[in-house]
Amino acid sequence: MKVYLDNASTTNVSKEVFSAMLPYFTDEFGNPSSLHEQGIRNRKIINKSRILVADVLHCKKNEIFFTSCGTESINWAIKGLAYNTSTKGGIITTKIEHHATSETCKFLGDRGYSVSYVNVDKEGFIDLDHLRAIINDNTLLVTVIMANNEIGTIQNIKAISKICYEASTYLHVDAVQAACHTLLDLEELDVDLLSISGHKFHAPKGVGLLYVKEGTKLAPLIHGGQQELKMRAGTENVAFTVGIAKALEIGIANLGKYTKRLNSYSTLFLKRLDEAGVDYILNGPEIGENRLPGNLSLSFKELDGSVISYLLNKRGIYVSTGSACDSESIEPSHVISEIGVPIDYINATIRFSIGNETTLEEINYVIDNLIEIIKLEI
Amino acid sequence: MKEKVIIKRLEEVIYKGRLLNIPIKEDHIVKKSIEVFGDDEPCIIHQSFVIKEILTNLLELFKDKDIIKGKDYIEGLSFLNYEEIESISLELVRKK
Repeated sequence: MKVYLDNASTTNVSKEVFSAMLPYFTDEFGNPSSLHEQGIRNRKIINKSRILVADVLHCKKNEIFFTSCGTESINWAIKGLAYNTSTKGGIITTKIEHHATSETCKFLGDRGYSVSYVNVDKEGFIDLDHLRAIINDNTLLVTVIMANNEIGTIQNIKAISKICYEASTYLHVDAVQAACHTLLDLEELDVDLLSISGHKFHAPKGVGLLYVKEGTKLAPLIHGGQQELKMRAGTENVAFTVGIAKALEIGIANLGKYTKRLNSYSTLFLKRLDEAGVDYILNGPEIGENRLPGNLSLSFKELDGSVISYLLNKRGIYVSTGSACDSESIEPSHVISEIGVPIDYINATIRFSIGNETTLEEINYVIDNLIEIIKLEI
Repeated sequence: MKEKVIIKRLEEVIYKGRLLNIPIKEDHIVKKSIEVFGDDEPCIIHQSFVIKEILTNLLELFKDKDIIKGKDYIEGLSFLNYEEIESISLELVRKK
């Protein structure tokens, strides 16, 4: 049996999404900027996709921009604001961001911007009092990850948004893991910028979205033609635009059932580990509304995560470790280090990310094998 | 991969320790990395994966025995960072 429990890394393109995209690779290949029937049909389909995305996210269509991925969206949001503002030079972020954010902030920090870090607690939640304390008149932007890719912590974005509004500061939210995995209502969240990546919810790799609230002063990242309101030049990827819109529509429509099923699988997973007497820590919050459904970041006592994931791989079970590549050594990830996972657990952190297509039989297969491997390796 | 290994040349112990730490030729890691990842400059995580692949193959040699002799597996043990493989022996100390 092959079991893919690495859905937080990427997902397959679903059959419905693939079927929706297919005509735009072969028959409907016209350039959307061309004024002939082939081109016009594709312009129309991009416009329809944008309207569909805006409808499901509850925003205006001219606030949605198609990009090539979540990382591009995040780069554009942060650099685009920085390049367009000369009066403020402060950025606040956390130490548990995806590298797309942390490296972009570091890039700007090296060029004179002041980058500050708001504290997070041991479950990864932002300390709102600390945010209130460090936000100031020079703060251009607060940029935070909505649902943590490693430990699944879902932040209270509404509360963060309120603090940013009161301080007249822009708020960018990295919603790459959040979209289709937790409620994402832009009307309710009231953020200025929000980044999404298609391949996390069964659209293809190579397409993302950036939401830019009307009135937000953002500089273009890619200059050239008229595409995307002259904000993101380059011939549009029509098929992928169709794909991400379709995947978002399906994902949001199924969110309730998806959440319930994945939370029940996660609960079963932990129950069986407890029954087997496995010594582990669940990193991040408990299973429930503040944790991404299906995300189980587990640290096992006195084991080696690279060995566990290798042996799982040999048994056809695909997971991720919470490790980072240094030039000289394998280190625990910055997220796992920041939340203070104890030293005797930190080297065996595995992220099991259950997905929409995971079955109960697969979950039981993974747990059986995991318990067996742990017993062999203790 | 908690097993321990004792490597002897004639009767002299030249390595005693964890399977995961046995000396492997650097060029063999690169060769294996090209085979597995198509990469001749593997990062440390990829090197670590490749080493586990090499050790999995080594464990296969111990399937029905605890001691193997270099002279019987000159090709299979060529990854070890030792000269004259034919004169060494490896003992696998299995986890009890």
